[in-house]
Amino acid sequence: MILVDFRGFDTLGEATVLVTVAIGVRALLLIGRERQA
Amino acid sequence: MTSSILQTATRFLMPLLLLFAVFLLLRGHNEPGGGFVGGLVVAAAFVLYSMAFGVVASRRALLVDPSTLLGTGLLVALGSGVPAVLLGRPFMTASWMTVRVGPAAVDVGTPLVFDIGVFLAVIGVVLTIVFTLSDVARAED
Repeated sequence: MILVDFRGFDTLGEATVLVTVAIGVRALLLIGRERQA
Repeated sequence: MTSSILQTATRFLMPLLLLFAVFLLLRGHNEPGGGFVGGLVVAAAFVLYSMAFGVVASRRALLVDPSTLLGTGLLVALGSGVPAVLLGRPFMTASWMTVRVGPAAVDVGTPLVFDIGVFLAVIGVVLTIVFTLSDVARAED
């Protein structure tokens, strides 16, 4: 029971990291483009 | 690049991949599978679609913006821990109930909601990265 519940925390942190990565990739790729426009 | 072989194969593979992803999502808690892998399979299906039909068509086939999925998924996953707090138990304690649909009995609980959240977030992450990369590559052509 404890194992399963803590696995949830682990996955939640993992998902947060991934979402941050996606936002970072999008921001870094679009930052130069908007300056040109 | 348009190849009619790839396009026809994609038309056959898309429904199979999406069904397989739902299968992975639903069996995930006690057996190999889960929201993460399911989300990756959906994302791979849409990447395949964008190889065959182009990124614009793939975005249209997804129906929602991938960055919307990103936030929604994370909020759903976070929200699945809240009912346990309201019941006075530690955050993210699993609660289950059995739903009977005719002869079949399905266990539904907060871990399923959590997995659906992770599923949506992973689709959003992969497709945001892939679509943004290909948009930038196309703009530089």
